[in-house]
Amino acid sequence: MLRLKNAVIYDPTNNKDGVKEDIWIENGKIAAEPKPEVVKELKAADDLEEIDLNGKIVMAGGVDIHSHIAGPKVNSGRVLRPEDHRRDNVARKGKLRSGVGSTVPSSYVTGYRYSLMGYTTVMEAAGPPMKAKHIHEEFGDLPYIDKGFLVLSGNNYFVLKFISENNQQALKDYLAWLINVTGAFGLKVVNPGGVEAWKEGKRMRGIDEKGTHFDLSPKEILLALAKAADDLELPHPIHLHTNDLGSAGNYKTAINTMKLLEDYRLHITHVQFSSYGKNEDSKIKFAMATDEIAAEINRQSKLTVDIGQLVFGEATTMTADGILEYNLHKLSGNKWVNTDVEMETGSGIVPMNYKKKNLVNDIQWATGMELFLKIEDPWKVFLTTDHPNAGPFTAYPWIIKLLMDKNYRKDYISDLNDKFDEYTDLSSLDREYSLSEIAVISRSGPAKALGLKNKGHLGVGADADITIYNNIEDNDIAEVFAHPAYVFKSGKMIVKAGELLDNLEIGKTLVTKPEYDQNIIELIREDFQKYYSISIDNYPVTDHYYDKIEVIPCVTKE
Amino acid sequence: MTKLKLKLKKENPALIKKGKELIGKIPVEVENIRADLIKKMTLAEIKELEIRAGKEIYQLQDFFEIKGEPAEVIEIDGDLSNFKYLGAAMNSGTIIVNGDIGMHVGSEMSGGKIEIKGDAGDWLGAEMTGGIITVNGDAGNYVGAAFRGDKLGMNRGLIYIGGNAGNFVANKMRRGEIVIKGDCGDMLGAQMIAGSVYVFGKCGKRAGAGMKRGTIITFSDLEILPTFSYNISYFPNFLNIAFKHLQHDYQIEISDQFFNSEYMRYTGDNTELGKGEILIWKKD
Repeated sequence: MLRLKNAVIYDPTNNKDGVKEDIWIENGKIAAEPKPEVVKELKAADDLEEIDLNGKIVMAGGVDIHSHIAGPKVNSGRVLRPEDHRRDNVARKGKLRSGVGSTVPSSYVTGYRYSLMGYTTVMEAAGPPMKAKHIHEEFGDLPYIDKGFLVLSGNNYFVLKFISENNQQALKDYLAWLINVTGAFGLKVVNPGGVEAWKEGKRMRGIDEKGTHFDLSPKEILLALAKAADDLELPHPIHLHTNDLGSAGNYKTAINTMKLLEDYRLHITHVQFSSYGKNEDSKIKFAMATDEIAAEINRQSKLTVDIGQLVFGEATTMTADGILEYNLHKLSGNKWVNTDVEMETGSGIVPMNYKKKNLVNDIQWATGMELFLKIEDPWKVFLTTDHPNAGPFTAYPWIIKLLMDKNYRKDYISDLNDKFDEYTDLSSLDREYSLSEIAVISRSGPAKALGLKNKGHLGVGADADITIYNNIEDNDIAEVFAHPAYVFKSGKMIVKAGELLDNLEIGKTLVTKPEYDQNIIELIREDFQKYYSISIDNYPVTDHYYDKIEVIPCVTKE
Repeated sequence: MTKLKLKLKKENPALIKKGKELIGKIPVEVENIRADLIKKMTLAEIKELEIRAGKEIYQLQDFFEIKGEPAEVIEIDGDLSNFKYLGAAMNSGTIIVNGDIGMHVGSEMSGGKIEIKGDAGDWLGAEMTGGIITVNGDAGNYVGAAFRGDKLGMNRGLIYIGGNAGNFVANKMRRGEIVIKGDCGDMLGAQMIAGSVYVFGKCGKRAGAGMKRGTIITFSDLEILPTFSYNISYFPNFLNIAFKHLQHDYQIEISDQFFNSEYMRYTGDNTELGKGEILIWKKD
């Protein structure tokens, strides 16, 4: 048994805001405090290890709800950008394998850097079903962290077919089958209908337009998918990348989508990219619409979002939204990868460099910051950079500092474009996040939204994924969150004094197994054999692709 | 003038031998041999300077006989054709190599001078941002180029090659001058963004492919890509100034016949911006 003494606990799930208590760990889980006589016995048997934390800050291990860390898209990003890795080499150390870093790190370095930052659970945000095997293979080489992936389903042939046939039961069965055979954790929906239109050489705006092969509007697709996810009781609702993402004036589409799905559970991801206004009078025609978006999020009760905060410097945009990447390629002139994943989705990658003096980039940066500050309930808004789209995940400590320190924020704004204040009202916002609110947006909130009952908190029975930070009174906030004093993963110490110990271990893969009617396989077999480049019998991810697996039950109703 | 003299030992850890026969050489990375760093060190520190060969770490004294004293001028004797990154990222001082040298010489350097008396390998002066590199012999591919994936190649500075150069000279070059006395390979100035390249010998295929801006000056016939347009035959006065600048500032010999002479001007590459130019000397 392990005892962490004199911890100052920030555990919002269990209403602990700076409470001084001990934490007991047994078999990789957090345990209740044993009775004094048991403690005596343990001590006598030399079976109790004690670490005195001396009033250091203790939180659950970080949970990242949206990050691109494994799979074909990430790997293409690595191949596309040799210059991204050249200056960031990580040498082999003991059992720790070597690798390269920067915006699209190699799998090992991704695991190292998340762990060094005190993050222990990460959700890979978008995986094409066909390439699920690749994702699980990379997961096998992604050390320490627990991970799962969300399977792309917004532009899938069978999804569109069943919706157009108004066959909700078949849709439900198909989605459940898809999650089972790909070993996914949930459903990702990217620009529903829009990617399909782009693959057909068409362009759709908003959520009402029709005109593709199945003649479906994004509205119909969204409603059917949200309903199916609720009916299947998936732990995590549909994880939505909205239509018209990244274009000026798209906040209307985002708000229409939120209103449309008000009665369903919904997570909108990197909402920063969906919160832009349009100002025809201004030279750049680009504006922010954080008031409108924040008001709608504040009004709704079930909706959660993550931000996708922009970080200045190098980034690599990668998404299943093929048309968005095409636009970025045309806009920036940077190199571009485009992929058509057969029946399932599109994909694209373009490197970007966000510049401090570029007014549009500044507005994007401020949009993220303002949403953090204007959305009142921290349980609805989570910390992400949509790694590596808006910036690398290694910038989280810096974002936490910006949120916790308004003076630092003001200093930072003074470095940006001179016209910054004309376009944004970030300078007038005085809100500062407390440590407890930071714990919500970086672990407790995402864990709750993902339906992970054993993550993101320090109650008895939770996984012993624990991060211990130095005090923020005596240290720089960004430094504190970048270099935790200790990190425990499943009860084992993996980081001490900002350095990885060399007990390299691979974490668990998180999956769900919703139930479905077996007849669905026969229902799709004919089309599958006709149009796919692989056989349906070779399609499922077989068990030997998984190393350690944890099945999260499909129960959402208490 | 004080000098630090290094002489490559006949027996050194980079040699792979089978019995008494030499069957190969391990690449040695010597980015720590930089004139600007060495002048500030003591002789003892210099002897223990870190040198990587394969996966092992060695010291400078394992490879070289070290004479002289710490100075801004380093003279190296020996066949260094398996030595990489010499003078990389250097910002001042002089390195003279009496022999051949391997890849990446002076890559990312920002100042100072490197003189190679023999041949140089690939990536000579890649992504350099200042300083002078002269090679008496031949150079490899990717002279003054951008490294894989990067946007900008050589950005300021001068590279002079007495012999021939390989393919992809000045790939993505952004600024500065490259002078090649001999021939050069294919894809000269490919994706060039700006800067000047003088080739006194023959050029290979597809010169200027994908160039945006910049100037390629050649003195022998050239196979022009179809995406270039012929403009004019004229007597460009700026070349006289440029030649004089090369003569006076860098002591590069330029024959009188090229002065006040007629040149044909082509612009392209029209698949890109189309503001690049190729000037071809008209032999009377």
